[in-house]
Amino acid sequence: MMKKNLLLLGLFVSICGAAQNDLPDMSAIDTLIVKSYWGEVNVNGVTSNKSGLKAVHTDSQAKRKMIDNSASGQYYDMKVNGKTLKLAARSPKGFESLDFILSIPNRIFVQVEMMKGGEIVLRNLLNGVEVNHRNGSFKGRNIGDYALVNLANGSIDIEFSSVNRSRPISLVTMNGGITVSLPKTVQRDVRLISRKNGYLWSDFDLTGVLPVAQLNVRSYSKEPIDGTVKINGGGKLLFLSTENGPIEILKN
Amino acid sequence: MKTEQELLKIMDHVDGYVMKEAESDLKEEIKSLKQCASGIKDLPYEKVSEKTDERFQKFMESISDPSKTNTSRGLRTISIITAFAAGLALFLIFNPFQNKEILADFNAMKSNPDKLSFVYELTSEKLREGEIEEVKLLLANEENPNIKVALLDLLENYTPDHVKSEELFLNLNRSSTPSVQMAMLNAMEATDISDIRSDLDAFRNTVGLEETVKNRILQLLNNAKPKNLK
Repeated sequence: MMKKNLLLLGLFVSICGAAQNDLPDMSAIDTLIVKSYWGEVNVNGVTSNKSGLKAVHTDSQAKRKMIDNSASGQYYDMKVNGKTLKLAARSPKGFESLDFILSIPNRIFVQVEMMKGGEIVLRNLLNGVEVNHRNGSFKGRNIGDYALVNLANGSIDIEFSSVNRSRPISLVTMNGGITVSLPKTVQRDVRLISRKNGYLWSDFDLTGVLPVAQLNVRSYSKEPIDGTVKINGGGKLLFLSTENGPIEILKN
Repeated sequence: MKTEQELLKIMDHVDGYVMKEAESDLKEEIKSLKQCASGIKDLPYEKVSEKTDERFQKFMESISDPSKTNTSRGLRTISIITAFAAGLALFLIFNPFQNKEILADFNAMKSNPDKLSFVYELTSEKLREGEIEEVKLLLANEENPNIKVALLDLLENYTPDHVKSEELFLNLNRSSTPSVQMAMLNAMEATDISDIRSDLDAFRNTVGLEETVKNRILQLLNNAKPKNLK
């Protein structure tokens, strides 16, 4: 056990200590698109134009290795088209995964598509995110503007530091709960759908016809929850839909 | 006071329709009336005074100039309202652009959030048949799964009368996103699926189809009545 921990620590140190791969000049980029099959996508926004990419490959024997600039072309493709930077993992050869850990300016809009499975974590991104994910959870922290998130199997947990009052938010998953944290003054029309095993928790006062018998009771219901309510008088759409799981709307 | 019959007799004599001798009590009156009538014929023609003529001319001008009298302005307003109402009625009946330009407006939008807001705004309206058809086209062409789910949420309001299970199945067949597939199956709940039972059953065997989706299809098939029991 001790040996295994030391091995993992060594691997972590070697990954963290390795040089970041080069990204193009980000001052001219306003959109980042990441396409991956298996693995983790972790994007962190920073206040400067500094940027970096760490890519880690895990093969079918669970051997992990850092991919440096010279070998990057074998594992992923990176292209700039106008103001868009596109990063695309290669089609998986056997059971392999590729982790992308990116640091980019926080003004950049980020779009992530995970075609097989893994985890997506986005932090400190102030100009909106769009996520399409098959298997695994999504976590968003200090997100601004808006979000469109669509998952098949996994939960959505997103915290907005600010929202654009003229843009909608849509969080949809097939299997999994949805937790969204919003600024306390946010105004939204909220479309709520939880087909089964759901409950509805809200820190906000919800006006309109409540689609549940009991609000803020963490008791899983077999009955569908389906309705539209308003937060702070209503506004743009907040669409929250899950086939299987609860919905929580929290105040920051 | 003369009776109506006596007055008619007098007039017939004055006009010359009756030439025979009148009754003695009417003789004098007939004679005096005949003299009066012949006297009128001999009078010289009277010209209308210039003042009267001028006033009449002014009156005629004021009718043709709406700014001069309230009466004519009122008449004009009524005629405009009438014309507008008639035009509006014709427009509503025969208007070829009766439907909102849903397809064109949506396609003109470049960002996904704008498209999603647009779709949500349609939920507050009662869409016409042609508009529902346009929403179906949007569903068929849209790629973003969040927008597709919102479109299906909108179309669910128009099942089963305007959205049929066959149409939803065509979309199901083209979609590979599980949450979108589930939204389509949920929309089918209120429709008659008897004509697509075998298609749905075959779709369950699609390679890579999520278990949750397969189970939802099975649930739909089990809940629906067989065709012969319709």
